[in-house]
Amino acid sequence: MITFLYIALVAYLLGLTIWNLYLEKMTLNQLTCVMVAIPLILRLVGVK
Amino acid sequence: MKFLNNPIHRAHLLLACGLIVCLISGWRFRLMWTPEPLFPSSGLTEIKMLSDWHAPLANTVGDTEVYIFDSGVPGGTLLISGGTHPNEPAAYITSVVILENLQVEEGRVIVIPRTNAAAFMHNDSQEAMVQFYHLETPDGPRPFRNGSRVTAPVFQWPDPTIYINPRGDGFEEIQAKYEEAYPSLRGNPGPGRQMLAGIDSRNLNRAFPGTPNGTLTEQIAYAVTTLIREENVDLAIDYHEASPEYPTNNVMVAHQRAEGIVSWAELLISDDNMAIATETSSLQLRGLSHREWGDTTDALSVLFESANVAMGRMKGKTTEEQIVTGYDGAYVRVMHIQRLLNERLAARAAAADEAGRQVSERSRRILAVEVPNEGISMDERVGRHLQSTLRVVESYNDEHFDKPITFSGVPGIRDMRTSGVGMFLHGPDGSPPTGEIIPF
Repeated sequence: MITFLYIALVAYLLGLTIWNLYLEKMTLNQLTCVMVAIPLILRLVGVK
Repeated sequence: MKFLNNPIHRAHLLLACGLIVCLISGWRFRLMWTPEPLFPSSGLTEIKMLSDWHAPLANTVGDTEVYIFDSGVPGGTLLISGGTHPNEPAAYITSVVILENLQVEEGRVIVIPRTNAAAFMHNDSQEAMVQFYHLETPDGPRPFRNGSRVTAPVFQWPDPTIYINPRGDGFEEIQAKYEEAYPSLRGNPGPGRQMLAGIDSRNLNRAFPGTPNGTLTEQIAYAVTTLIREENVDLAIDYHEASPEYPTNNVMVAHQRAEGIVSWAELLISDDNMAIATETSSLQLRGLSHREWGDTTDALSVLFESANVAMGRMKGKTTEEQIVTGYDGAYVRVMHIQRLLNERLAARAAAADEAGRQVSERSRRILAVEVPNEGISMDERVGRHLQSTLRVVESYNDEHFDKPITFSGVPGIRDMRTSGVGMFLHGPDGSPPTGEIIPF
């Protein structure tokens, strides 16, 4: 049960990160958003 | 370039790049999900799965092969466990060498080379560890996975802040039985009194004896403990490796009931040009194989440790060569510093002795073991485990002549030093090993 809750949290964080990627105007901050998103995507799809 | 001036277009492009990185890294991580093939010797009689001793493990990533070598001649049963910690390569390779060369003559030998199969499926995060290493065989390099100390978090997540070993069902009765038979066990901490770091909830060697309905790691532990009980294992050996600065190194850690045979084995090993010590399993170390197998089953339990620089905190860049050759320049420098320091401390102590003064320090050890300039190779580390196994089994047979375990085909440290581990492994395509054993 708690695992599903954590996966939901990861999905929520990933959603916020990608949303922020599109709100950001500065390239460096956009790049940071993508770097944050990579481990979240890998965890969400259950690879790492 | 105009395209990139638009933040939305730039976000599209960066996200696409991020997804490509996910695909490449995801593909690399998924490569570790495929077990490398193992080639058991002709002495194999049966392959079972760990789930045969705990059905809920079936079709999970925690299920793993259990290789049974039954001579058909009455005798004792030996359990070999490699891969409890898949980031300790010599431990895993030792069990593979035994699996691929063993011929049992009396009794049975059960080999579990990948005891925590779910920890082979990833490597340690933020450690820049290599995913694979290759061992040279006469027919070419054979790949092996360099896994993690703990179960992959995608299969058991999240970790608690503090992990408390829940102990197995019926532990109280088993403990009472052993306390009666072995008074030295009295005063053990009771169930769940030892607090560990949260990550240890995924560490198989903190989860024994396991629970049938616990986490994946606890269920793997429960299956192994059940196997030991149901198969009436007499002697159980668990292989490990540690960083050179870890104090428990180049030792055989014995449960109190196994102290006798292991101490005798240490004496036998003193003839084998190999320094090793015996350490008694601490009564406080709950969840470890040498403690819990000995406390909760009838088996005599022993754990072997060898020193691996690739696991150390002082090492340089981790490479495949470092794992195989055991050479690391940083450790050579540490040894040099230790020698210089001890020369100065000895000079100071000599001067103090002359002047009739007391000195607080005469020598200091930075590392728990001596790391030679050429490193501690895989051949040496595997050889240590193999030689210790041969001598502990010999010592066991001296005491248990009514339940002997005898076998052939397993090389020792001299064979490893002379021929190398690759000569006692099948080739990558399954061609048989060509190494010849030097008689004792």
